[in-house]
Amino acid sequence: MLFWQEIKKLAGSVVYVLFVAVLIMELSSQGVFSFHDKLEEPQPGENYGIHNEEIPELVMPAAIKELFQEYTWNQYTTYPIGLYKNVKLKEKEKAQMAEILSELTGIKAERFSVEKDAELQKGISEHEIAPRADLTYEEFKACMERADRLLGGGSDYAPDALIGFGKVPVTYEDARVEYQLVKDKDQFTGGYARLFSDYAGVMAMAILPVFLSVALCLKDRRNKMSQLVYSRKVSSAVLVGVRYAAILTVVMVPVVILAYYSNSKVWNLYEGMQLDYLAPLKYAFGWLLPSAMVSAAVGMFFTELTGTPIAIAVQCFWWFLDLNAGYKNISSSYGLFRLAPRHNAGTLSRFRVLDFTSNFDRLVQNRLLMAGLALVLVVLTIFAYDWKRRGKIGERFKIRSVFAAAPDRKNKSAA
Amino acid sequence: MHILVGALVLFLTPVLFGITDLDRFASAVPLERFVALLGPILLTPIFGPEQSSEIDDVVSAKYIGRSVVCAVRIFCLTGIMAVMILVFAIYMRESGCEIPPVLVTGTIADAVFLGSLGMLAGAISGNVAVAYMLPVMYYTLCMGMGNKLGSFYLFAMEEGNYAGKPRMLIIGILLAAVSVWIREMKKR
Repeated sequence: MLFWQEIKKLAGSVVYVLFVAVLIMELSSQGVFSFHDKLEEPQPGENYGIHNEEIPELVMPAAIKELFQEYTWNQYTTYPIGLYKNVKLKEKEKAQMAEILSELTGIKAERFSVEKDAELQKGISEHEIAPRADLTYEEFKACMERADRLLGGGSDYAPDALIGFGKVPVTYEDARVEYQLVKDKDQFTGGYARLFSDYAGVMAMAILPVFLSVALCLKDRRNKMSQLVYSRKVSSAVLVGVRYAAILTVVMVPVVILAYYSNSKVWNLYEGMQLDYLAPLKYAFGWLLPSAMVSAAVGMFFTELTGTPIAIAVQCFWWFLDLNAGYKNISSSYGLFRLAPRHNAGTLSRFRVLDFTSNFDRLVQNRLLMAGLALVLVVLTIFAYDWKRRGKIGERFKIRSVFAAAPDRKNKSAA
Repeated sequence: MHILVGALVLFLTPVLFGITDLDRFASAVPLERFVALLGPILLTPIFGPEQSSEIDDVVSAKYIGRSVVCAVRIFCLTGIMAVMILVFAIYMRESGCEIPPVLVTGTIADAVFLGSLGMLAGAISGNVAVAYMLPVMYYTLCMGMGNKLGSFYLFAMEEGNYAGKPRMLIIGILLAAVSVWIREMKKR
């Protein structure tokens, strides 16, 4: 009964109408409602694209050339916390970088240490910039790690990023393996559902539910109904739990409908093939629901605790950092603390299904962690709400008990 | 409180983005993507105090009209916001960044536009969550649609395009005026 009341309250609100409108607009701007590319079976002699492999013979010369180029201009691109950062080294650090380049190439450090960039380019020709003949891959990695530390971290020279310099063409055999995986495991529709989830997660589910929960939690306060609700018999756990469930229900209904709408666009492309018609549902609940859970829980917790819309700022800030953290490695990002995991791959790259399967365990860990975090926040919301009902904290987080209860105890003991 | 949050945004910008020796295109990134958020932070809650009926009654009973009070508030906060952006731009210039005046005025235009969207949504709905939702929605739309939004693309200065900024500033001012008018009409 209470659940349906909350659903009605939410579904009839301006903020929900706006939520659905924004969801449709954001997703349609990414083209997920007009999928029309069919994944064709690879044929011999085609171009199957490029992928990264950590092959020392490829990685070492490419990384050293890139480092020399950035050294020449003294402009280094890094992403220390995900966001783009332009690093310019001071003279002392520049000399240290020259030492690293010298160790890598065998060219004397003094030749790198000249005043003007133009002189530097004149002094050392491009073909000289190559790995030293006796340079081992371990030595190379150690040098690159030092370079990365000098730049403050997050550069392309970080040990885990070096693979980016090893670009190799995808072979026909690899392409066939990927196609087979899409056919057998994804049953085609899974790939499209994943692409939908990538956009829906980052553009909507990681941010929009916070507005719904803030609006719902502030509604009692705005209508001056807080005290009336506080005095009702229903327990805080039931009240908060029901509200949370109502928010997630109204959030997920349009998401599931839109996921099916998007996915159904490709069903006729694969006539006669085995398709997974449950893929949109699986991805909506497995991939998108945990993001929505966290976003809604942050909204409820901070709003109940402070009585202000500060949760919007908190969630927007987290979302902003998370979104930009994807810029360096946008095509596949399954970090444990990602608010919205990324896997931006369509038919051209055969949905990068190998990346997905090899990162699947990390994705599961991430989604479980986010769902768990959301539930912890819900429990904390129940405590905050309960304290308010009992008058332990005020509407705007004034801890009355700390300042008011102490003299009471004193008086009691005196009596 | 909102000014403090705005100041926090400015303090965080050098931590999140590198702001040393940037050319005009790279300088636009922290300004447009982060500093412009001062707009929704400072201008969106402009009608907040009157959401409390007690405060609204006090304001309504005064000789000076409610619209004048709101207009003065908008004017003061826009001024504070412009000064904050200017000070930050000077700091960036001192850090060796290339900051032509158009970057500063463009960032102010972005901030006013985003803030006025929040004001409009707040005036129409009377709901603080909706008020913040509209500028955030527009921001994400710009990330998704890119320069398909034409003159109203928020991050155009990163691509060296400054032509749409005067239009955004004018529309922003108009939206702010419309918001005050809507608020007044609703109260009558």
